[in-house]
Amino acid sequence: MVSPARAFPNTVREMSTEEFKALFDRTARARLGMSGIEFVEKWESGYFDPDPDSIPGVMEVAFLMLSL
Amino acid sequence: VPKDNIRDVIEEHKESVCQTLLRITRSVLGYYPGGVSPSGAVGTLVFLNDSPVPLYDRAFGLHFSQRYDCLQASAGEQLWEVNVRGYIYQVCQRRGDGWREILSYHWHPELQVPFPHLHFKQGERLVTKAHLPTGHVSIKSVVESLIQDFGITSDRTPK
Repeated sequence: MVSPARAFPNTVREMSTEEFKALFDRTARARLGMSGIEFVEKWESGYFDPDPDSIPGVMEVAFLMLSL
Repeated sequence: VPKDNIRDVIEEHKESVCQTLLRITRSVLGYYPGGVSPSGAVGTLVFLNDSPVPLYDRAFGLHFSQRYDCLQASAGEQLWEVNVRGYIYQVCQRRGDGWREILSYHWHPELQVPFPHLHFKQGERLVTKAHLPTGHVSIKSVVESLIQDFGITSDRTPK
């Protein structure tokens, strides 16, 4: 018998580097209206300083950026 | 639980997080290994769908991301265990076609504000701008709170 826990996909799907980069790009566009590359450039230039944590959406994207 | 095989300890961690999140959403979790060898790599867990993802009741949503690596539990035993290196758990409420953030648990020691903290996104500006210190918060405890306090059903049948 299949338990309820198995009724939905419950595996963790591994992402390739390309898939993760695409996810990062989509997140930047959805959260901040800019591409992933544009976000990285702005982050590195200090555009979001001094407190990026107070700007909605920035840290969610920055956190993923750490894994690129 | 420390194990002697690093791949086993990673699999157990991924499965544990997946089962925890399945209590509140059917969204599929993704895993980016961060390197060819699991030793020394920082893995990332994040929803594959654009987040926040809807929870079973559809009124609330969650953004989840977590970074972790593996450490040997002790030099003598040489067993491996997962070491969470940071997370963002963002709880949102549906507003029209979009989402409004209610609160977020953050721990991102490599970025600004290195200590674990909580953001409230509603209320006085003094509060919404604050980084309220917390201890390390597990996704399991956040899911428990969403079920107990926000009334998210733990039923796996989406409404």
